This record gives sequence, structure tokens and C-alpha cells, in this order.
Amino acid sequence: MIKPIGSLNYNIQGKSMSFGNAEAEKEKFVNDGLLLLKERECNPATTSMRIGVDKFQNAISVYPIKGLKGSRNANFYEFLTMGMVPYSIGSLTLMAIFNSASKFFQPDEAKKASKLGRSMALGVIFYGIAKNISKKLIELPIKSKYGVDVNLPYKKIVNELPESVNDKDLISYEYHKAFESVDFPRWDLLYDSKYYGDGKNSYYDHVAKKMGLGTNLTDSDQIVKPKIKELITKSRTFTTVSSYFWAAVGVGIAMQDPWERLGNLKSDLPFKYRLRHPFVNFDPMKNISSFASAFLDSCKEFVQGGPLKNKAAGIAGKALLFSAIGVTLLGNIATLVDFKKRKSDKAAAAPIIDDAKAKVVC
Amino acid sequence: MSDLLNNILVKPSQNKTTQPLPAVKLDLNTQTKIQPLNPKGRMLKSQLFGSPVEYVKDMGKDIVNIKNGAKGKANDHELGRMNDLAMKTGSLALATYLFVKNPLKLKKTMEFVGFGTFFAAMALWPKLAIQSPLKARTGVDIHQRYQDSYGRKKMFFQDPQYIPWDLVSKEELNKMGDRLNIPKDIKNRDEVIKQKAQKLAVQGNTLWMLTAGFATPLISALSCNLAERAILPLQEKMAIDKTQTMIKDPSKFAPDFKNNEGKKALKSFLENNANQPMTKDMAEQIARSMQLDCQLGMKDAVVKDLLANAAPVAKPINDGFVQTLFSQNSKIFVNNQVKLEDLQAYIKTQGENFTINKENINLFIDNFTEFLIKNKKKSELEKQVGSIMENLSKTEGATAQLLKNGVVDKDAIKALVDNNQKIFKENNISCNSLINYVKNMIKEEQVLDFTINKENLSEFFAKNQSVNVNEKLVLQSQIGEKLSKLVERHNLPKVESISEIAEKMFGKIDEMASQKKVIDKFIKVRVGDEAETFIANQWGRVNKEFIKAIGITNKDLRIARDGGAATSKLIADKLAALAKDEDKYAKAMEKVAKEIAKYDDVLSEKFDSDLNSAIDELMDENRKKFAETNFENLKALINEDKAGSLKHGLKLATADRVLGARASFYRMIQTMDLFKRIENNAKTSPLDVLKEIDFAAVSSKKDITSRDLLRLLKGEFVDLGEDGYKNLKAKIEKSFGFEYNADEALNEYDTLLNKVHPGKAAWLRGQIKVLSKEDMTALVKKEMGDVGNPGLEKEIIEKWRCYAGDSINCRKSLISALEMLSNSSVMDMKMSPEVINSLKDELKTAIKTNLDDLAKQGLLDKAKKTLLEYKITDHTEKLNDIGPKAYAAVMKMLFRSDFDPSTDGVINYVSESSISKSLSKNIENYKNDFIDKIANWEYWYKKAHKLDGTTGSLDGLKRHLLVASTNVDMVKQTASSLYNTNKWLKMFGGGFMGLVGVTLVSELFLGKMKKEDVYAGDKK
Repeated sequence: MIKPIGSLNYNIQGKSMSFGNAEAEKEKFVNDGLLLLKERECNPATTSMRIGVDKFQNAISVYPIKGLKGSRNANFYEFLTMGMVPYSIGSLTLMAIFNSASKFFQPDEAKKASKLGRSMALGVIFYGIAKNISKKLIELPIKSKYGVDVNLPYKKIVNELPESVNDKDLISYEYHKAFESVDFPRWDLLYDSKYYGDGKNSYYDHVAKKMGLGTNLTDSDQIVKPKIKELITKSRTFTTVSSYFWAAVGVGIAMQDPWERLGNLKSDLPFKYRLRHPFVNFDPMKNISSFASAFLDSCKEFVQGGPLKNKAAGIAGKALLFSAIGVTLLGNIATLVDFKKRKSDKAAAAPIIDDAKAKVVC
Repeated sequence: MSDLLNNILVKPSQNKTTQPLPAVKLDLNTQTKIQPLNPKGRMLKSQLFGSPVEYVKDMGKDIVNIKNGAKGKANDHELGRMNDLAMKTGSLALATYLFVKNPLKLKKTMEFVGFGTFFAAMALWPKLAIQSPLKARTGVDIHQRYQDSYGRKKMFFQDPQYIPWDLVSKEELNKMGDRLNIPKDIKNRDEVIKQKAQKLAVQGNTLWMLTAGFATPLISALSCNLAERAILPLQEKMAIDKTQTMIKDPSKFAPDFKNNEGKKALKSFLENNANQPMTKDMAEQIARSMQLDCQLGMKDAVVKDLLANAAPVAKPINDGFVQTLFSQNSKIFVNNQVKLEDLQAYIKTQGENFTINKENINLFIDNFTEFLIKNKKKSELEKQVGSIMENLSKTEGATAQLLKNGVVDKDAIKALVDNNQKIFKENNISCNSLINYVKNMIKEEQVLDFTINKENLSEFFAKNQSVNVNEKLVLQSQIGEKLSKLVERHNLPKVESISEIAEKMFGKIDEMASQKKVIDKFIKVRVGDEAETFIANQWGRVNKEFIKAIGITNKDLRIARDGGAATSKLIADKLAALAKDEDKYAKAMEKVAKEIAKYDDVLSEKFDSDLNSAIDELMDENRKKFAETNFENLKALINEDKAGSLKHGLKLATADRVLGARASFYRMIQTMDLFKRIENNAKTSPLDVLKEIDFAAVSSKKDITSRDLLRLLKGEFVDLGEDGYKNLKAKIEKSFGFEYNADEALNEYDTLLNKVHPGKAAWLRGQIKVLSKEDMTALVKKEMGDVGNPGLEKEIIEKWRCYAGDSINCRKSLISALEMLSNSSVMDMKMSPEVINSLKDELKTAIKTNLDDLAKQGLLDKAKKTLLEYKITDHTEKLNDIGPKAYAAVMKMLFRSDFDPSTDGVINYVSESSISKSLSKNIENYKNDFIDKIANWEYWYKKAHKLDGTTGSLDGLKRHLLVASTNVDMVKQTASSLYNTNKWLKMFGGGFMGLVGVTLVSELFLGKMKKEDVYAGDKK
């Protein structure tokens, strides 16, 4: 897999993926992977965002072209990354289905239709936001308690096969997560981490310390690895399940009546006029505050059942919200509380073959 | 691994057999003995839809995976599969929430349909649009699945960098190559086949990713749209059947409708307010807490009965009462120098357990005010007594001994009184009363000697002073009312005394109400005032059928949804065209009538009788139940059996709803028939009614003034239609000698404008046609500035008015011309005999010749509009602008003449073949009702406008229901929703078809390999 770099005349596919200066990049090419530990520790949000933007750009430009050509270099990573495309197009299509025909309707019907349309559009947006942000409710506590960033990214450089006779040293980047696979986490990348100090095991020492397994362990990596594996599995399970419940809560909130108050989001002014005077009738504070108040009232209505006092809707809303909170809390308990219990199980986990005893080999 | 070790290490020690372990012969030739396990992977059978058993099994596995994952024991494959189940669970939770939230049944169902179709679309799109066509064309199933050695199911082409080709036999590979048209004679054929298959898979999967985003929501939305059409009637039928069973025995289904919330609320309210007095306000609050489905006086009856069952009881006056009395009237008490203690002492003198009730309250107030006044005078009295005693000591001859040895010293008494006359007078005490007092001493106290001193004099005064009547009355009015209110409140029973009764009452009412709710449900499903009821659905269906039957096409919907004059014209044109073809007309009428007959089938006499008998039974049953109670008001409410009663109210509400829609439907049949009759008029003449119009009334008039003409033209005679007026106008102009020439007026106007503002004239002329008079005035001023000459300005505007009137409408212009005449004081001027004669002649001729036809046309227009456009208000305004006779003619034409034979035939046929067989009878009843309530309606605005000259019965609501919705409104409503649906379908259905097309066509280009790549091996 790892090929020596033949020349420095790189033909890099998808230039947009790289950030940082070119010289430094060249240095990094010799490594198979590049752990973005420091970036994640210092700017977790922006790093994820940059990776997200990069991946999205590729998902809508480079990968589809590669895929449609049937490139021999197309791989599963690219296919998975392209999964963003149906998500985004689907969201837009869903919004369009409920919104775009209403301009042909009679005014009063258009109003009714646009009310539903707005709810659907908000629903799509809230779905996405709630689904993604809710994962942090489980992941962040893990990070703060054990120092394990379950989403720790690394950049992988792939040396591709030549597509034609003239191709040399085709290279592409992939963004993976160190703990992407629970079967084969990239433990190797976590050795010699400068960020947590000197020493081969500095990262594992840090995690072991945070897990309360003690300091100055001779082989912290061996002790910590199964625990990290368990954490990853649990967090993946609970974030997966909880995220869809939160997404449902998001859509539920978008379906409430107070959103009607926002009035017509589209400007009545002609497009050309708006182009010339973009800030006419533009009052961000007012917009934000009216949005916020509509949001809060919608949340209230979601758990209370609305102006018609639809009790059942209130109960259903509460049930949905509490299930979401419940799964998240279960996730927190499973990932945060369990370890203390396990301490008492240390004896059980003791190695069967006691290597302290002297052994005679026949 | 550790398990394995444990097994090896631990098991032998557990083995209790004492036999030695058999010696193990180690064969060191590991190459023959130690081998990797045989791979167990296999291709899975390629199929479009997985079997449901597999699906359930897989789902079961996923659930176990999540369980394991939660314990931290899952592998990559298991974690990867979780997403699918979690997404479905989350979506199902959302659908459930929306199901509960949505008040409408169809929408509820659609939440789940939406959920189902979305996931189905997600799964089906790649299968149907990509996998299957590609497989058909190339033989490669890009979504081929296989099972690996661990039993995990995966996609064969999932990772192009790792395709388990081992699972494909050489034979299969060759077959694949044949289908892929790979030349047989190349060297590394296998590799090329694999390459091409891989390429196809990569391209197909990419296409899937690119199209799925469009396809999934589109398929889901489109199939929901279709599903809705199928589900709605199904749901409707189920609801109707279900409630039909329920209505037969409401008491059996009643427990489901018990008002448990009301019961809880009532109980907690009664508990929380147990110590509150049972006032009227409280009774109302209790009634409110019962959360009754309040109908026709139910709540009033509850309040009254609660109060009646909580009669006031006189209770002993306690400290609390005294304190409240004191604090409420503190001002009065201070004025009268009464302290709280005094008041308490006074009340105590009334005796233990003293009560105030209705009987003794007046006496108590009387005594009480006296006590107050006397108390006020107490200190004054002390002074007075003091001064008497002082006088006594000073006065010579006066003696303090008033009784000595049983002999009253009258002189001494007299002297005493005389000396202190002022004081005695103030206290209203006469000399005699003192004498009597002293005499009483002998009788009552058995005293023979009585010497006056401070104490007994005070006592005497206190006893005998009389209170000023006026002062007493004032005080009584001040304190009396408050006191009686306080007593009333004090004597009120507490809420707890009524608790049991209230709960019993609630139980009885709820028993009845829950049964009533069963009946309500029966009604609601059929004629409820909300979406998705039978009546609402049928309304839409009849409208749709009407639109379709009369030939309004999808293209016409744009105009049809407008609802204005254009829609009216569209319907009229379509109907006129339809009437020309006997067959088409009969077919259209049959379709519409059949759909309308379905309405009568469900809301038939059986519906009425089922409902009425259920209501009767409900009332009878509960009448018996309530008979045992002493809830007189509730009893009366239930027993009542007359207009406005609970029983009648229940029955009536339904009847009104049924009539409203029915009338709207029959109006459609009438319109269709009217156009048919007009069409057939050439052969038969249903319009003979016109002959009755007395045109002679006008022509025989002696003195015709310009006002008469104005009235004539404004429509009191007959609506002539536009052309009619043009002709008449010309004749009148000629007769009057008033030449009105539009061109001339215009020229004159131009000249005027040019005078003021050269160059603007032509432009202004263009504006005239669209502007109102006011706007025009403003425009003239704006464009030309202040003309500065009021006379000229007026002239311009007047001229414009003349011109504009003509250009907009001939009739208007004529009226304005006549109005101009009136301005110039010609209005009531008698016409000269010559003019009159010539006019008479002209009119007569006109009427006899072409006006007759014109008048007919005008009436027909009215008749058409009456059905197509006129609402109830139009029946008072627009329909009355024709003369009474013309009105009668129109009404007769619409509601008293027979249907066209072809209409009649269809209606009778449909009626006979329907279940209820009531259509033609119902239409007949409707027509008669219409004549009674509308055509003979005496309206102040035009009293003479009646069909029969008699006054019909008055019923405002029914009048509204009979006129019902106009054809235009009904077409508008449904056309609008049809237009929207069509537009939407066109947009997204078209979009979807486009997507399918693009996907399929692009698949034709997939898997293409360059020749050099195919023969690459050969070159080497």
C-alpha cells in the first residue's frame, strides 16, 4: 500500500482538501497518516468544520466525477462520503416539495401552503441540527472525563493507481477517524504523541490517568486500549440511537404553531430592488429575537400540547423528549459510570497466568 | 481468547474422574494438520425484495447488536448496521408523535404512510431504477450480496478495492464476461471482466448517490398523494360502519366516552373549596369544573339545581360573625360610640345559640339600631342626669323623695320635671312616665320609699327615653342591608354539604352525556363541521364530478379557480355547449346526479330515523333516571319536548347541516337543467312566463317625464341587456332631441384639453378609460396644474364624465346623460305632447319588435346568474333590480317549472336506482321550500317582489341554507384545490419522470471500457 514517493512533482487530486503551507504538506506525505490531534484539542469545532467542508466539496465535485467515470481508484470511503449528497439534495428536495408549488396558488391557499412548507423546511433544518449536535451530549462528557476524543480525525494520504499511462504519483486525501473502526482502531497513530508530552505512551498515559488507572504505568497502552474500545462502542451505539430521537424532537418543534408568527420570510420586494438595496427592511436583531421567541414558544407548545390544549399531543411531545433525554442519559451512564464499578472487578480481570511467579520451563 | 484458555485450564480440574488423562500424541507435521478453516462465505441469492422472514431476523439481530453495543461489545459490522434500525425507530417515534398531534384522522394515518413510503422509496429507488435495469442490460447485479465466513451479510461490490471475487466461480465469471460482451479471445479475460464489473458497480453506486436525494422525497410525496386518495374513502367507510353499529346501542359504547377529566376536576374542586360558602358564583364554578358538554341550558340547570339543593340554614351567631359585622360597619359603630366589646356584650344579651333567620331579621335590625342610638346617648345621658341632680340640690322645695310610704309625691315629680324641662323634652319623657315609673316601683319592686339618685335616674332615662324615629330609619338603612347580606352569607351552607349531591348529579349527567357523545360521534362522522367527515368528503366529490362532467378541463382550472365573473362565464359556456348534445348532457347529468344520490343514500331517511330514535331513546331513558332525583331543573330540561328544547336542538343541528349541502348540490342540477331548457327553447317554450310581463304599464302612461325614463332604465322595468339599452338609448335620444354622440363629445374634449395643455390630450384620453371620476379629477389637476379657471375645470370633468360613461357602458352613459339633464333642471319637466307621443310610439314599437327578445335575454341572464352566482344577499339586491313581474317570472322559471324531459328522465332513473330512492322527491321538496322561504319572502326593500304575492314563512337560517353555495363558489373551491394538486403533480411528477429518464438513459453509458484497456493484456 505504501509506495515510495518517486518525485516531488505531485499530481494532487482535489487540491481543495489541503490546508496549511505546501512545504509542510510535502513533509507529511511521507507519512501514511497525519493525526489532527493538536488541531482537535485546540479548535475542535473549526477542525471538524473544515474537514466537513472539505469532505462536502469532494462529495459534490471530485468523487461523483471519479465515480461516474468508474475510476479504478474509487473506493468505499468515497462512496460513504458521497452519502452527504443524497442527504443535502434530499433535504432541499423535501423543502421544495412543500414550498415551490405554492407560488402558483391563490393567495389564501398559498398562505396555508407556505405555512406547512415553512414547517417542513424548518423540520428538515432542525432534523439535521438536532441529529448532529445531540451526539455531543454523549461525546463531550467522554472527552472531558477520559480525555478520549471519539471523533479524533486523521488525514490519510492515498497513493492511487495510475488512471492512464501518463499518470504518475496520483495522490488523494481521505479524512478518517482514529477510532473509526472498533475492530482496528489506529492505535499506531496515537503513539509518540507530542501533544501530551514526551514518551511513546504519552497519549495512553494521559487517558489512563484520567480514567483513574494510575500514573507511571509501564504499559498504559495495553491497559487503556480495551477500555477505549469499549467507550467507542458504547458511545457509537448511544449516539446513533439518541441522535434520531433528538432529530424527531427537532422536527416536532418545527411543526408547532408559533412559527406562523415569523411572517413571510420571503421579501415582497422585487429581486432587482433587493439587489440594489440589500439592507432595506433588514433588521437582524429583530429577526433573531422573533425567531428566538418563536422557537421558545414552539418548545413550550411541544411539551404542553398547543393552544387547543391538545393534551395527548403534549403527552406525546413529552414522551418523545424524555425518550431522547433518556437515551442520552443512558449513554452518559454507560460511558461515564461503568468504569468505577469495574474497579472492583479488577481481581476477576487479573491475568490467569500469574507472571510474578517463577516458572520452570521443561 | 481468555475463554478458550479458561476452558483448557479450568476444565480438567473440574473433572472428577480419577482416571489419568490419555496421552496426547503430538504430530509435529503441522502443515497437514493445522490449516486455516475452510471459508464459509457464499453468494446470497440475488433478489429484488428480501423475504419478510429474513427482514425480521435481521431486525432481531440489529436489536441484539444495539444491546451488545450498549454493553460495549459490538464489532464494526454490527455498529454499522445499527444506524438503519435507529433511523427507523426515530422516524417511527416522530410519526407516532405527529399521529397524536394531528387532529384529523387522514392526516394521522398519513404520518405513518409517509414514514413507510419514505423508507420504501429509499430502499426501492436503487433497486428499481439502478440495480434492475443495469442487471437486465449487463447481467451484473451491482447490489449483489454475499455472506462472509462470520455470517455477516455484505454487498459484493461495496468496496471496489476489496471485492471477494473468490466467491465467483470461473464458470460464473465467464458467463458474466459473455453478458458484458468481453471478447473471448483476449489473454487476461478474467481481469477485464472483473474490471468492467467493478466499473459498472462504481458508476451505478455513484449514480445512486446522485439521484437518491431527488428520488426518495419525490417518490414518498407522490405515493402519499396517491395513497391519500385511496385511504380517505376507506377510512370514511370504516367510520360510518362503526358508528352505525354504535348508534344501535349507545349505552354499550358510552363507557368509552365518560368524562373522567370532569370527574377528577369536580372532585378536586369540591375538596379544595369544601369550606367555602355555597353561593351562586360558587355553584357556577362547580358547574364549570364539571367540564360539561354544555348544550342548551344544561349548565344553567346544573347551577339552579345545585343552589336548590343547598338551602340556607340559620346558624348561631358566633364571634366571627360579630367581628365581621363590626369591621364591615366600623364607621357606623364609631359614630355611635360602640366598641367591639359593647357589640359582643349586646349579642350575648340575646342569649346562647342566638340565630338570625329570615323571620327574625327585621326585629333584630330594629332592636339593634335602637341599641346603637341609645348607646350613643349614654354619655350624654350621664351629663343630663348629673345636671338634674345638681338642679335638685340647688332648687328649693324640690325633693328627691318621690315615694314615701307607698304614696307617690306627684307634686315633687312635677316640680322635678318642670325644673329640668329641657332635658325631659330632649329625651321625649313626659311627667306621666316618671309617675308611672314610680308607680311601677310599688308594683314590681315592692318598694315603698323611693329616693332619686344618680343610678336610678339614669336607669329610668335609659328605659324610658324614646328614640328619634328618623334617626332610627337612617341608621336602619345604613346597616340593615349589609347586615342582611352578612346574615345570608353566614347562613349559607358550605360547599362540603353539596359535595355528595354534586358528584351524584355529575354521575347522572355524565351517564347521559357519554351516551350523547356516542350519538355525537355518529353525527360527527357524517355531517360534522370539520374536514374528513362524510359531508366534507362528499362535497369535494360532487364538486369534482360536476367539474369533470361539464367539461372543465385541467387547462380551464386556472380560470375556474378564480371565482369571479370569468368562472361564471366559463361554467355558463361549458353548460351551454353541453346542452347542445343530448347524449353528452344525459351522461353528464347522470354522473353528477349519481354522486349527489350517494349523499342522499348516507343521509337518507334511515339516517334521520336512526338518529331520531337514538335521541328519543336517550331522552326517555334519562327521563326515568332523573325522575328519582330532586334535580328539578335538569328534569325539566330533559322532559321538555318543544322547539328550542335540548331534544329538539340535538335533532335540528343535524338537519340544518344536511340541508345546506343538499341545497348546494341541487342547485348544480338546476343550473345544468336551465341551460338545457334554454337550448331546447327553440322547440318547446318553457319561457312563456315572459308573456305575463305588462309592458303596457309604461307605454300607456300619460305624462312621461325624464325621471320615468331614468327609472325605466335603471332597471325597475326589466333588465334589457347591453344591446337592448343601446337601441333604447338611441330611440330616447331621438325622442328627446338630446343628441348624444360619443365621437363628438370626445372631439370636444380634446379641443378643451388642447386649449389647456397642448400635447397632453392624447395621453389623457388613454387614461380616461381606466380611471374613476375621482382619479381622473386628480389626474387632470396633477398633469395640468391648477387650471385656474374653475368653470373650465368643471367643464373638462363633466365632459370627461360624459365620455367615460359612454366608453364603459352604454347604460351608464345614458343614465348619466339623463342625470345631466336633471342637473340642467329638465328632470321633472313634462315632455311636450309631441315628444311624448313620439316616445310612446317609439317605445311601443321597440317593445313589440326587438325589445321583446332583448327582455327575454335579460331575464335569462338573471335566471342563469341566480343559480350560478347569487348568494343570499344578492337575492335582496341584484335580483330585485328587475321589476316584480320579471322577478316572479325568473323564480317561476327556476323553481316552479318542470325539468327538461331529458333531465327529468335521468333524475328519475338515478333516483330509482339509488339506495334511498329519494333524489327526485328531495329535489321537489327543495323547490317548494325555496318558493316558500325565498321566492315569497317579504323583504322591505322590494315588497312587491314575490312569486305568488303571498308571504312565505319566515326562517332566516333556513333561507341561508336554501340559497346555499353558488355554483361558482363550489367550482372555485374544488377547482382551486385541483389546480394546486395538478400544478404540484406536474412539477414534481414531471420532475420525477425526468429523473427516471435521466437515470435510465445515463445507465446506457455505464460500463463502457476503452478498447485499449480491454486489449491491454494482448499488447503486452
